[in-house]
Amino acid sequence: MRSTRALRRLTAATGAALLLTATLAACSKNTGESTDKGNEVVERTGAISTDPKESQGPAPEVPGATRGGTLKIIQQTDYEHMDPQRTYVVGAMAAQHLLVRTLTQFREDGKGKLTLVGDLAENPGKDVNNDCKTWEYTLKKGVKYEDGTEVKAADVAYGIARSFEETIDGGPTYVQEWLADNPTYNAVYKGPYTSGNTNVPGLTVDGDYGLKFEFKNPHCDLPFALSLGTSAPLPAAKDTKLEYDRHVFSSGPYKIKEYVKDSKLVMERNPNWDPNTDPIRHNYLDGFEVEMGPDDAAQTERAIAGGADANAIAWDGVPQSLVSKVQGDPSLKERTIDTPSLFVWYLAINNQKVTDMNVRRAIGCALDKQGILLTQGGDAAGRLTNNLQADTTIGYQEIADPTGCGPTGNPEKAKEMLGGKKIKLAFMSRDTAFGQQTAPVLKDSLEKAGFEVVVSYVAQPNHNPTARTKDNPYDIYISNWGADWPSGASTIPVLYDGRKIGPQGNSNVSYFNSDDVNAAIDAASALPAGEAGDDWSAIEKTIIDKYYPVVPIYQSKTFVVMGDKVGGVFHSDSIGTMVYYNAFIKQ
Amino acid sequence: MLRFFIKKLLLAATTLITVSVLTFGLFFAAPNNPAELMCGNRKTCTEAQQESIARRMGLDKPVVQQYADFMAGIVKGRTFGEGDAVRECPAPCLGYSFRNDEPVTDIIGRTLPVTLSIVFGAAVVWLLIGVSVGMISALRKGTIFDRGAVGFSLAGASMPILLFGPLLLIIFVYETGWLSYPSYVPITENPVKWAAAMLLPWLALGFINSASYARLSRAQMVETLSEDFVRTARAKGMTKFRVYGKHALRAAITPIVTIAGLDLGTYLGGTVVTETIFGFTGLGKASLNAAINLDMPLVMATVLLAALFIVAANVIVDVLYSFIDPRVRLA
Repeated sequence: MRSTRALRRLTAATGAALLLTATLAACSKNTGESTDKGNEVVERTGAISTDPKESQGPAPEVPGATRGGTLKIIQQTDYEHMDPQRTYVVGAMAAQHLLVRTLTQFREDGKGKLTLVGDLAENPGKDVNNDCKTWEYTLKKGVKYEDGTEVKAADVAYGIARSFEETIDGGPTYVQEWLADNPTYNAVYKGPYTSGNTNVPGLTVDGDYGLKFEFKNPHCDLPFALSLGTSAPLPAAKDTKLEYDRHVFSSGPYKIKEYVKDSKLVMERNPNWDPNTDPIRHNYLDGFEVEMGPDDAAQTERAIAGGADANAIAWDGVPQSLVSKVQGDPSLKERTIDTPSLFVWYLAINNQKVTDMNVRRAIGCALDKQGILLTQGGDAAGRLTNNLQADTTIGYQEIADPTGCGPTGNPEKAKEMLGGKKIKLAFMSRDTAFGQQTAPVLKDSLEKAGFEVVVSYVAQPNHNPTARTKDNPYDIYISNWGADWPSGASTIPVLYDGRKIGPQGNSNVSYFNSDDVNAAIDAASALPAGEAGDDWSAIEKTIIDKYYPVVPIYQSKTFVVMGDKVGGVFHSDSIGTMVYYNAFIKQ
Repeated sequence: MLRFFIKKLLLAATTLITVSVLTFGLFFAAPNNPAELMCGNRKTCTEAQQESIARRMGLDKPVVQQYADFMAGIVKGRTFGEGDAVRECPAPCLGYSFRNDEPVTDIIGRTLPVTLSIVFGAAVVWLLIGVSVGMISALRKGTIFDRGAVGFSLAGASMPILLFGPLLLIIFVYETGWLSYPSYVPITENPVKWAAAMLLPWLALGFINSASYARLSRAQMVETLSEDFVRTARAKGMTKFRVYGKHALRAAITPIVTIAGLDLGTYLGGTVVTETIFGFTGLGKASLNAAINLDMPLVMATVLLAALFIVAANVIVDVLYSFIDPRVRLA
């Protein structure tokens, strides 16, 4: 959670119903008009595949794709981790798609259709007793690592086992928590290095290709969770522990040729990858070169200029200073990705301290949301929202302005809501450009309504740990959330189930806790497959209408420019950034 | 000479030890708990986990013990952690980066060559352009060349690299495509590509600095040329070339060597702006990132290194002085 461009996807446990098919309406392309109504509405569908053929390779050919060439990904900073069990930042996750395969994976058409299929596995998983407690997976035969040896079930189990290690940190923790049936999973099983064995509780290897997960409680979202790096295979003999972060043992279409930390990552084709086993990926390109260092402005200028960078993608996105240049040049439209990402920015109100709902509503009424978004680039940076969930969520239903105060806030109406009270608010902001740009807008708009706002700028690395500490001294802070998979189950219970609040490391940073919402969360989590989407949206509406614990501000957008020779790159709705497995270079 | 040298070295060592104590103090004075920062982004960051991290990193020991370990690590290396999850930090170990999960010396080993490449190349540019423009305009005082040179140095001195660097990029990369955007290649790998990548940073940093060197050398040379010994030498019939090239230049160059040494020392500590503009991850960028990320071991190491460069530059300048100006040797 460092910036909109390299967000850490927060971890949290969820329990939810299996989704079969649902449709959602989502705002997708920005048309350049300033009102929300100007946005196009696109039908999105999400599903878990029931047809085994969908999990089989090869992936459908990409129209116009040709073989050869190198894609250059220019980004300012290096990936935090490359070890699949430790990867949790979207950019690294996209690179990971090229290097390793996981038990399941989303197959996307780039137009809003998502299907969860078996990747290493023959299908997205078999719920043996239809109670979401016992799941069986069978691996495909003939999937190979970069050295030509075959991927075995024991390797997937070993990958999961090492994710229990305290030192293998930073990655998703869903599967570990569910298997251990304990949020501090490390107390139940310490991992292969520390404990000396690979006996993960609840995980059984059956021969070379069979895997069985047995949980004490139902976890219907397991197929989704297994699409994350936790289920990437690794033979025990190839585990270099902490050094594994520098050289991943490939099972995907590409392998690492050279990796110089903070400087470059070069990937080349993995000759042992067999497209016939892979339902998702291609290897049209000879390789990839990730160049680290240049800032967003330099990246974008280079991609626009083309020439030596005609094969480049400016990963960090168009900076505010270049937005009008990019939007004003129609010739760039073709090679611009401009789409909602899955991150929702909201003003978290500390409900332990601001206990009066009228005060919370007055904050929401007074807040100049439009002004905050403008500091980040306006339309190019995001879309104002009243929802807690991103519009990429399956089952999404747009919520109308709950306070009726409009996008720029209404100080007079807010004053009425406060009923003459003078409220002092301690606001924690980041000491980054984002924090320094947004804090004055927030302070001004709230003070117009009669609040007294005391801003504390906190160093970026301390900001989130502070917000995530239960008894932090602040009343309001800007937070964000990117769901781990496009289901309400990956947002609502994580951010609004008050029973999960602990002393530290909370994702529920508004410290909202309400019995009726908790009960509704349980009910939605226990619903039969395919019926949960609408329920999550209903809970979301209840939370906003009845309690208003946070003020949703905007859903951020991905707005990037690519060189004129780049083809096949698209924005993934499942991980929330560009993915490269269809990429090719136009001849 | 030996005594002079030993005296300078002792002074340098004392300075460095003082800086190390101060930066180490900074590490503990800063309102951060490194163990909490390391596990703060995990879902659960229990006190037990923090303690275990603190133990692995040696943060649970008394401060004096930690300082002793730190100093000993520089000489003989250290290991962090326990059991299977041991992180080796070979000598000279300057600590372990919590953020990057690697020994600080690895980061310095990777970023220092980038900064060295920028600074030494740029120094050649600014010394060549600056000193020769300054000298020539001193000799041609009052001519069009001299006025032009004064104008140039004024322009250069008043133009920040923040403007000049991107301007070079717009002209040579984005608009005309004559050069590709710089991408660092180690000199050992391919010297031609290395130089090609360094061209723009050298020009940017070199040009900006050459202006002040031109002004300084001009002023020094003008002053020297008016000295009695120059007039005497000329009166005795010595050639212009010999007088200016050998006697006057040697006298005028002394302050330039001082400034150049200090500039080199300062820039080696990091050329943050140049590195940022041209997308290099050198020592400057690394130390800036370390400060932003509160990666205190890396901050400490870069501060120490910057101090080392300044101290070393001073010692070298002093030694050079004794060659240029024999009177210094007596001191």
